[in-house]
Amino acid sequence: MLSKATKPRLSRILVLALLALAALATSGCVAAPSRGWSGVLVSDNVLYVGTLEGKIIALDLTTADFSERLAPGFKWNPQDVVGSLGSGGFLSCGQVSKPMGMYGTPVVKDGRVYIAAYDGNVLWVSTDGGSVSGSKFETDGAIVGGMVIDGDTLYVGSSDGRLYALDLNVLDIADSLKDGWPFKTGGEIWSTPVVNEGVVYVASADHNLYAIDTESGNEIWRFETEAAILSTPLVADGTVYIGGCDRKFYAIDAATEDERVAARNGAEPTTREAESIFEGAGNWFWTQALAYNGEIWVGCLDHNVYVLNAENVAEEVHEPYSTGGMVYSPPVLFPSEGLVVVGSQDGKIYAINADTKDVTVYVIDANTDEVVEPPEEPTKRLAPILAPMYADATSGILYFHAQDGTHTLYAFRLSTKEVLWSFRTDKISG
Amino acid sequence: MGFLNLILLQPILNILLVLTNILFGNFGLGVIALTIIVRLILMPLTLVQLRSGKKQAETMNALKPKLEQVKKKYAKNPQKMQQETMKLYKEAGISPLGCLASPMLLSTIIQLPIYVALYRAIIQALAVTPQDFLGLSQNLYSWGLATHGLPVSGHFLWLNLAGRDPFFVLPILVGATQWISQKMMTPPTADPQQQSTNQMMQIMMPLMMAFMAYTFPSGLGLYFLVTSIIMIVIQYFIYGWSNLFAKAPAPEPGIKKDVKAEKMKATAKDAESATEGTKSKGSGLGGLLSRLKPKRNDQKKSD
Repeated sequence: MLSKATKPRLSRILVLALLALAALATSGCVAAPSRGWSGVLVSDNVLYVGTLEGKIIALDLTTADFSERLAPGFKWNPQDVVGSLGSGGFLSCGQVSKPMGMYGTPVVKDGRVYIAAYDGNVLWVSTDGGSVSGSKFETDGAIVGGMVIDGDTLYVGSSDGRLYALDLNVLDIADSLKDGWPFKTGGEIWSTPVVNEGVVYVASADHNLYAIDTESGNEIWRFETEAAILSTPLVADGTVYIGGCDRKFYAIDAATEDERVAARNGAEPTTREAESIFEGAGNWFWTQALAYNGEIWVGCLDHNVYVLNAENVAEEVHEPYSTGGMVYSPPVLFPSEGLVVVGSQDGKIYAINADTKDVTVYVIDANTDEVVEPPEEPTKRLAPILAPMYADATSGILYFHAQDGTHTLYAFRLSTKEVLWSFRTDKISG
Repeated sequence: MGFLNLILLQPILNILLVLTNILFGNFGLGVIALTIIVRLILMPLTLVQLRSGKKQAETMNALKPKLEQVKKKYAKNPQKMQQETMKLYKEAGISPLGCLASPMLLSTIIQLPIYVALYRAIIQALAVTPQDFLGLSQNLYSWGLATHGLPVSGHFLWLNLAGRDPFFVLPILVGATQWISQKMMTPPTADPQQQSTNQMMQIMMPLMMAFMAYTFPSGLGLYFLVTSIIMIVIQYFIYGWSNLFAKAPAPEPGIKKDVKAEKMKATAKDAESATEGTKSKGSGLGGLLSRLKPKRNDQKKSD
């Protein structure tokens, strides 16, 4: 039984506890949102995507039934490919958000789907039966960007600041690091490397974009900006395009064959100057641009999509397209229709005719999967699009992975304005 | 929330990142500098808060003998006792609403959103996951100095400011400084009930802060530590060290005796009123107390 003296003490403790809980709640400590993104890859009628919990799933697209809006079935059972990412502490305090299992888009080569996970490991899963590689290649940091395969080499950057080149002919992926690698930068690499004519381009949070000889792993040149670079470079017509956290978008001459040979022979790396700079953005660039018909299309975290002259990026070809949220997902192209498609954090899809510059906005109600009229006011029914989308030019289907607390895959046909099917990736067991 | 972000979170966050950049890209030094700056800006309010608390405690101590007299004098008339008590409070300039109407509460209310914003700024600046970074981008100004040092390095002394202290040193320091701060602002009292409350606060608060310092990222623990140290310095000028080293006086025998006697009286009176029913139920607080007493007694019996 409680004494009279104990009761007031307990009530005070209760008040203190309630105050502490109120403080936690007001500081956003109680419920960390589970947002993240993994891009979609379609290869040989199989769709690959990573889930929030760190599984890789393969959906056999031939089993989808469009008339019934029936989502495709698994080609093989979802595979756990990511280790523990930490609990986030008591009540997830101190974390603004919970990390996703993988952020990069998987890549496929010779019957293997390669995965670079947030736990810092690279591994593969067999595209036939879903068997997981016996070992993993380990980096010392989280992997946020994607991978690129050039010939028999896979390039991947890590938050440990290194760019790794893995030889895919080596049976044990744990021992597949090529001689002369990794290439070390001074900051986290969250950018996806890009390979063009024997040169791999990668950006780093140390403010630099690097051009590296693929054969030797030697630096050819570096281009320095005024802030971290988290976006992925685009190489088109001898020019490298990239935007940074300094709110600028740059066009830089790509490395020449002579420079590459010199670097391979041990020449000192040089520094590059920008050919042209676009300085009209209101926030960071954190996505890869798209080159089409002499124009550069690039999304920005200031909610806009900019259309720039490829010859001189300082010149805007068209006034920016304003969306209702950050544009993190890179623009994709349906060449036969001449459509540039952009997904935004506002949950809407913007299909822009590259010739006429007319824009059509598609809004999918996340509850009903119906295409609805764009609401005048922002609504929570729309699922933010942050993950890279996949444009299947043959079928005219746009695949994208949206997150609004749930993670849902959509197959959307623009020509008929219909959602063919949707698939929750955050409710997968097994 | 958007408005608070605009007027509080964003300025604090950007200044924190600028300070970090100026202080050799060291986020730990940035947190320390910002905490000192915010504390200096809020110094007038803190002083009002502490002085008001001190004055209230002193006034209450001075009133205590008179209150005891009133208690004894009107022991049989709770309504009158309450009226006289209120009169004494009014004469001494103490609001009947207690701390609810004091400058102490006002200054606390003004400071609270700033502390919450400071806390959130530290969390946001320590963005680890990509989506944290996306969120961070929406709260930054176009100042080059704010973005130049991003992403911030969480390494400071032996700590990773984005993670927990593996050696428990920071939580222990936070708990210890919080205990000192708590002790400095608690004057010794002879009242046994007050003593037990003070003791509980002196243990609970430091334990709670130490637990939070362990659970949250060390960046926040560092903020708690610097805040506690600054508070100790400020409190020194208000209270001095006397409360820190003072031993709680032994409960006065008179008080103890009185409490016992009152308890016995109350029990006897309760038993009386239980048999007589509720003949004289006054109105107001006194009446409410008199109505509650038989219930308490019943409960005690059942216990």
